[in-house]
Amino acid sequence: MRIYLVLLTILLCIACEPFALTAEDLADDQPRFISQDLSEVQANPSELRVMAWNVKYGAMRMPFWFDCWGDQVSIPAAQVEANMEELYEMIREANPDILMVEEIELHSRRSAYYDMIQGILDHTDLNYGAYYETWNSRYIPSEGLGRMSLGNAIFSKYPITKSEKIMQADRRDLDPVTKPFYLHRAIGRAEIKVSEAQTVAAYVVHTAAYDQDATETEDGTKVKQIKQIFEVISQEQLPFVLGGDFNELPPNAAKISSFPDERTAPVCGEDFEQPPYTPEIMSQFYEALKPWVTLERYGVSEQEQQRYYTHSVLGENELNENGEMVTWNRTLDYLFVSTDTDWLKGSTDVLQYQGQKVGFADENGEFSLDWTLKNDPFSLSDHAPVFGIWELKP
Amino acid sequence: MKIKLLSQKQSWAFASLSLLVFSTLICGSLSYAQAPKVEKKAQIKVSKKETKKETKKTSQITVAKEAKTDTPNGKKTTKKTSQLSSTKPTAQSGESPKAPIKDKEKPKEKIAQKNKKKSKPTAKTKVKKTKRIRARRLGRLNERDSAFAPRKGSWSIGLFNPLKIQVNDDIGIETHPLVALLVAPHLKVWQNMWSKSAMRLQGMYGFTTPSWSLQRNIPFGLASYLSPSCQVSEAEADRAPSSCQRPGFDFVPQLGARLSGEQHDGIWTVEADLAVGFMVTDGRPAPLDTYAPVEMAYAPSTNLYRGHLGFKYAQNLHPRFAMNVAADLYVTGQADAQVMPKKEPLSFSSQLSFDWATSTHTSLTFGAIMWVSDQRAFALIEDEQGFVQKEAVMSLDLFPTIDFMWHY
Repeated sequence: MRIYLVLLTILLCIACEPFALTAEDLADDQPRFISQDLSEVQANPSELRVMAWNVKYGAMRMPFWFDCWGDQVSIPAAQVEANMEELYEMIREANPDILMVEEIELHSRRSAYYDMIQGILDHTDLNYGAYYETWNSRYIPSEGLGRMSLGNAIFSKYPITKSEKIMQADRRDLDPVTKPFYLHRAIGRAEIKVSEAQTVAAYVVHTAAYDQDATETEDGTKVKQIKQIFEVISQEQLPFVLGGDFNELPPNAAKISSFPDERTAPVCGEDFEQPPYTPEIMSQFYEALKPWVTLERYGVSEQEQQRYYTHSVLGENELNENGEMVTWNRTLDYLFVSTDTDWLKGSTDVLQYQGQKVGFADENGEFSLDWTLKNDPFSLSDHAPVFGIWELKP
Repeated sequence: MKIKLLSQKQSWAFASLSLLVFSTLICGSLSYAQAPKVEKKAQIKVSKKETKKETKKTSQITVAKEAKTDTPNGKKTTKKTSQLSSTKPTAQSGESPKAPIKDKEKPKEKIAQKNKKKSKPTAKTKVKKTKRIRARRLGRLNERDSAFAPRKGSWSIGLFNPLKIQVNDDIGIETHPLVALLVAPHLKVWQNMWSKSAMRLQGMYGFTTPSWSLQRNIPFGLASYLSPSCQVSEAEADRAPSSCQRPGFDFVPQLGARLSGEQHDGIWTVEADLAVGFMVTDGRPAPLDTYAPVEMAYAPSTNLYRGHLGFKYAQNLHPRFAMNVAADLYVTGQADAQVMPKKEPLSFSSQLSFDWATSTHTSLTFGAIMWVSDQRAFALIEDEQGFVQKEAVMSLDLFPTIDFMWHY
């Protein structure tokens, strides 16, 4: 009888699922996905359309509780499907060869367990996907959030031959109960074979937003993570593109505080307060890499810069505390490429609004892209997609 | 890939295997019950010869045997014994006010009284008497959660186990006061419905209101943990009023029955019940998709209904020690397909636990329970080319069970 009990206990302990995956557990896992129906691709491409987009787990502009402008905690299954159809439409319109996505979910209760990775592959011309899970909790007992599988992803029309995840520093200001259930940020790296002769690398990043752990002697988590990203890409040997949501402003941002979609009334406690931005930390990327929007083009005034804002917590039908309509009000999302490559002149932009003429005009006032946005990114997510055409052999 | 769980088929195979293991344990316990033959013979003798009870048997085993004696003369026998032990007759002894008293038992009673007069009170008999009283207060350990109702007026409660009060010979009520006050009002009523020889049948009527706990914040609910706190809607009523996804109030009637029988020194119980959730106000909560015990508690609200079929076997290994094995199968309805995709409706649990009578009024129960259920776990299945596909898998959990209980 004893042996039965011992065997049973061993078997059960092996099978039991942990409360949440630790950073160490997550580090080992870089699954690759493939479309059920592969689309044709151009052989030996000299340029690639690239886009980075924080898709807010398909919630579009639903007022989720952690933004503190609403109370929603989950999206009904039918609504997730409808939302994702609109995201697919946007991706199909941009038609990227490489897409870097943040806040994408594979199997979360709040998005009705919708597989967004396979969904994007099966509803667009993208053929391959690499998923970098940063949050895997069996059940998060907070606001009924429940099971969570969230992360970043890199999609490509060309084969992803290698995928790896580089774990980042965890927040130090979380209590011991919250910490195991919290997300673990990571840098995703994929090697993409665009031709027999050429392989390129793509990076996707999404750094911390709410860390309050900076001290006089130690950087805050976000600053640490951004520094680590720069160290990692500095060692890259392949031509590469880096894209994602840095949760940080450009070094010459005209406005660095008091954004119109910030809460001042303590409705949701202190957990939703953001630390002060530290734009200077982004300088190194502008100096060492080729940004999709240069600092010169970005300008120095709010009026100039708003054309390149990528984030707004509030959507078009939501009013801020002063009863005002709010629009894109800061730049947090970026695209950079390595210096041995370049951006096709006039091809880069932030996709902000329906009817927008994408790219910028040359001296003669002509656009290199013949593209007017049909979809409305402002209604699709709280982040705008950033886009550009990457010249592999400038 | 990351979550090495069993597939659904493997999980059910494993559940079947564990049922087999527990069946083996039951067989083992039955074998154990038959092993001490000398003691068993003594018990049989005792049941036939009441007059020798006081001198030849071990006191607690005698009391236990008396309690479960269910002969037409049971009432008289128990009454007589109760006079000897200065305790009231127990409900579980099977006596009934309507039970006939046979005349042929009267000589036995006289003999017993004679023997009582003859026997001198020694230290040994005093100890036996004390043990008997203790056993009566606790009831037989293996009767816990069976259709053998405890004596009238008795009650028990544990840190986690509910408060159980035997109101009269036929009716017992069950509720967990803290849960009822702080989480969700609930009550179960057990009623004796039928008895024959060593078998009992009880009906169960009850109600619970699980979604109430999702409505209210701590300390009178679990909102902000298991459901939204809706801080924004409460602070600014006109802002995103529809974004608050708190469910409405529900009412869940329950109906069930359990049949218990006695064999050797063990009691088997088969039970079945059904709970159906009716929403009184607002919308039905979405399934929590969490740990099976919690999921099952909320299932009538989240999944419309919960059906349950259970089997339990409790074996007294010693007058103060019992072993319990149990297997339960649950079936739940599906959530609204517009809200959540379908999932496996069947859940299974099997349990092994031990009860230890630590004192006259207290007992300790400890063991483990295994659950196989669909908690929306998933696995990434890799193909030959190294690409993965998501697949749903069943969750398998093992929880320790421990409780300290008081009996009066």
